[in-house]
Amino acid sequence: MTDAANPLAPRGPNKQPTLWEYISNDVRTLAFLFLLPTVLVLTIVVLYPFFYALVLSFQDKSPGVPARFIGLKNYVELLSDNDFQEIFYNTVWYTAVAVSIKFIIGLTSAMVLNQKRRFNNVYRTILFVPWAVPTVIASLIWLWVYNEFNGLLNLVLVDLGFLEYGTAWLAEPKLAMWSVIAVVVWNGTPFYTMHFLAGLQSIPKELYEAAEIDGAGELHKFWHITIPSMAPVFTITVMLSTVFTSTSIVVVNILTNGAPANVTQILPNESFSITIEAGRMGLGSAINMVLFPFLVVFIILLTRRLLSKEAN
Amino acid sequence: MALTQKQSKTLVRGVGGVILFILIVWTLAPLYWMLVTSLKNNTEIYSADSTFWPVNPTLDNYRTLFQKTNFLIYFRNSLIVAAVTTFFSLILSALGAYALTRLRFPGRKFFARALVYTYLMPSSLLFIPLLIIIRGIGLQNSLEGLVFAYLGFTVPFCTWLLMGYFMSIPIELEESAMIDGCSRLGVLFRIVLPLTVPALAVVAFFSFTLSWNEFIYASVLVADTDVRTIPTGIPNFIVEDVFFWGPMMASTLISSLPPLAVYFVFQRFLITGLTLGAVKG
Amino acid sequence: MIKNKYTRRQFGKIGIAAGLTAPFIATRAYARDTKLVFWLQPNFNKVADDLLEAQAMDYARSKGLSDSEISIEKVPGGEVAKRMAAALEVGSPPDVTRVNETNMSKWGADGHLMDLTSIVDGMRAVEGGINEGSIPLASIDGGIRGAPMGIAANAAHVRADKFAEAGYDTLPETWEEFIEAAKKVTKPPFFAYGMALGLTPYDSLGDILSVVTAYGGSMVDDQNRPAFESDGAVEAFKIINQMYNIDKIIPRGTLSWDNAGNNKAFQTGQIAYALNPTSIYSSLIANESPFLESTVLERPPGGPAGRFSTASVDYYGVFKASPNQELAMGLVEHFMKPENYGQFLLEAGGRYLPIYPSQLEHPFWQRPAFAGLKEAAKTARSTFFPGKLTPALSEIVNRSMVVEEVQNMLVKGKDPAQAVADSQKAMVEVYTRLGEPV
Repeated sequence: MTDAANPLAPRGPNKQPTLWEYISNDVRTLAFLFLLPTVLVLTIVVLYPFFYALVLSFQDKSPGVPARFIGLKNYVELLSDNDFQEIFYNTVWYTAVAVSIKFIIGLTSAMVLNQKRRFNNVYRTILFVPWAVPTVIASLIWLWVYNEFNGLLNLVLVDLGFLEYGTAWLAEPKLAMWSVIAVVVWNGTPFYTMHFLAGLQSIPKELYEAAEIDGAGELHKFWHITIPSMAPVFTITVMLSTVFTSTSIVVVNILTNGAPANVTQILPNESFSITIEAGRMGLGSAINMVLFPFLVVFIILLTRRLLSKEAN
Repeated sequence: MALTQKQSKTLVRGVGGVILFILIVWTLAPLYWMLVTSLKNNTEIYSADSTFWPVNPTLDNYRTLFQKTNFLIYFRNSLIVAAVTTFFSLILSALGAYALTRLRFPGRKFFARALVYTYLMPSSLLFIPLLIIIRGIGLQNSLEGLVFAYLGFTVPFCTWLLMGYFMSIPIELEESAMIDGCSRLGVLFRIVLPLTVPALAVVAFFSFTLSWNEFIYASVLVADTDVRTIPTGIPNFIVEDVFFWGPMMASTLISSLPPLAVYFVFQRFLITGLTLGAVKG
Repeated sequence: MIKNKYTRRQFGKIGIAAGLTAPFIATRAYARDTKLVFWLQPNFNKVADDLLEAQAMDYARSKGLSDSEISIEKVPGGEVAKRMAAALEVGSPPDVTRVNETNMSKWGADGHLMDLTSIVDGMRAVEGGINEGSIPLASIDGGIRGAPMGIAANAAHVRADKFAEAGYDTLPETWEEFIEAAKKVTKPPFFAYGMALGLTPYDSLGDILSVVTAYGGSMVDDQNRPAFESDGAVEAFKIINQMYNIDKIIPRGTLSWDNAGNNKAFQTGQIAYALNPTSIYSSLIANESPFLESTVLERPPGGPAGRFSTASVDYYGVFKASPNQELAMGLVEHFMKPENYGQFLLEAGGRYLPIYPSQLEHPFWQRPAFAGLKEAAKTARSTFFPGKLTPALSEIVNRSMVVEEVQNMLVKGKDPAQAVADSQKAMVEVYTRLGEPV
């Protein structure tokens, strides 16, 4: 760094930097100050509760009653429980399917919205609406849509003659999980659409034009230009969405609460219900902890590529 | 039959149009049902032959909502919490993102990576220890307490977004400003931030929507009616009544409006903001 | 909400300062402003709820409290578990709330509830006394942990008109006859039996046990040990499977009903039979339902072991953590004064039977529809006869463990005998873990 660019170098003869000038220019102090509020908030609101939950998973605890350390007993109980295995499998399946569907619909929506049309702004706003609706509210709306006796879905299907009378969308074992996933997809797809649309619009037009000059068709352009350019956006969106989807309890809680027979039960909901209904806070915490390493590994795998680019 | 370039382009556009139509129907159908139900009276809602459009449209559900429930209070509270959370998210994430991208200090990479991991613990698990802490600092049953809790999940994501955006701003601008005698802080506020208004819009938007949306912390950290927010106020006040779908749908409709309004206002910023933020990660 | 951040450096400095100090601005030692906190659990009946609230406010004012010093929170039944877990953990439960049998067993055993013997003695002094059957469950650790506030008799709410159309003057007396009648009554989308089968306590267990006990089964024996595995239970499970999967007289959606599911279905005219505390009936009255006249209250059908109805008791409890114990106990006393209590019962429209037997003489209870209810209440047993609720049984109830096995049978094709065996196994595991005798 030359003197001219170093703000800490004395300006003019014998001029020392004042304290304020020092603070506002010393990199390490500034970094510390800038990050302090964030660190403070995150430590208090995320880190401490996390460690509390971790310790809790090794204890036997009821609300209002002092805790008792029991080591790995909670985990052992989980691993030997058949229900737990089923719920774990449900969680993986549900997350994978929901994320995949959101991905496909999101990408399709983004591509369609990227085409030139009049009123594109209106279409974008409309397709965006489901994400603006709070998840609780979206679940309640869909609960009413799925209603066995008076819901919209049954109304339409019965009127059109596909069904004789209403189906219990949330109680039929083969349908329940799909019904839940449909709501998750409805509520969460705009997240993908927005990111993908932004990604698509940042792809330089020249790439496409060059390909067209070479005689490339739509399909070719898609596979060889669009997809590779979008790789970073894909990665981030899928990663964030996987974490959000697999740890959210709201939709299942409102629609089915795991019924019928745990077919729609996923890990975070099981943890919640064990903690609250059974008052077994330690076991509930252990259930959440089990998911944690998988998510961490998933994130590491996905971001290794990205973060190495960032270092450059 | 191989298509010419022009033909294949038109085909794709046509298909795109059809898909757009389907997507719009799929998106709007439940909302349409919500609107229609909110305008029906009880007999129509629950009758065996429900209709697609109210035969006798009525504003009774809205009247019930505003006069007999505390909906307006919940609405006001949600607005306050979302606005304040957005404000602090902007500040914290702007400062944090700047530090992480422009200032070299030990542990920088670790910190950036750690941000994402903060999302791995769901609020459904953390709510009890969080309640203890919030009580400990005396913010229980208050809107301030909620804001504090919400910052825990808006700040990481917003910091990350801004990091991506800041990284795309050429460092030469700042360096030349510093040569001209500008301090680091000055650079942040006079040069970098004005250029990142689109990204700030994205941050404001996500913070607002995330806090508007939040349910678990809101239902546990806040108990008094006059401090409740919408996501908990609504299911609670209606659960005990059997004939609640009418007012419930009226309330969901009104509750969806603010995030939509915010989106509409910021729309043109959102795409540019996301472009540089999300793509570069 | 656009924050124009590119105006002045000053703004930025203030921002930093605000961000750092905001969490500490409100640091005050946490002291409750309110002197009395009452969690009012709504009763499916707004008039009754409003009355209770008014009574609470009256009491507060009579004690010199200002309106802001009493806090009445409406906490729906479904929210109580979650809020109470958090509240107990931070040491600030409400002062007073309604406690059902399961919660009495749990919170009482955990030592959270105060001894209210003095209040109960005051109630016993009323002419005619109280229904003493309500006391044993609340007698924990040498004290009476709650003041009984009403008997919730489970009644079969029956659409007599629908059964009459199918040729039946009264509700069939046995489950087998009931199924025959139900097949004629069921014309989808109208179903005969709104059998609650969801995983939310407590309706589902009530419905299941109404069949199990008719065939001689029970959850526990008279020593409070798990005794679910029995021929009677297997027989009952087979019948439930038949009703749901073969004869299809139950709406498919009941597997995902919450506690209000059968209530809603009955009130909107979609089922002909619902087993529930009489909150359904009182709602029919409050909402001036078109089905009110055609609804009768009956005992559920019986079987080889007999025909039984069940009832449970609800209590008002005071938490030991209350900072103003005398004040809190006074509220309960106020609610249970015969005049106040009697009025509440009337507005509750049959939701509770009086805890003071003398109040049964009131004209309100002479309605023909209530004849069946009073009959049911006279012979009613606890749902857990011949045993009683203990913390282990409470956990099993709260986690809907037996209901889950029924769902496994109905939906995953588990063999009824296997489902019963697995229920027993699950119960034994809980009892063992909590150190209760098996």
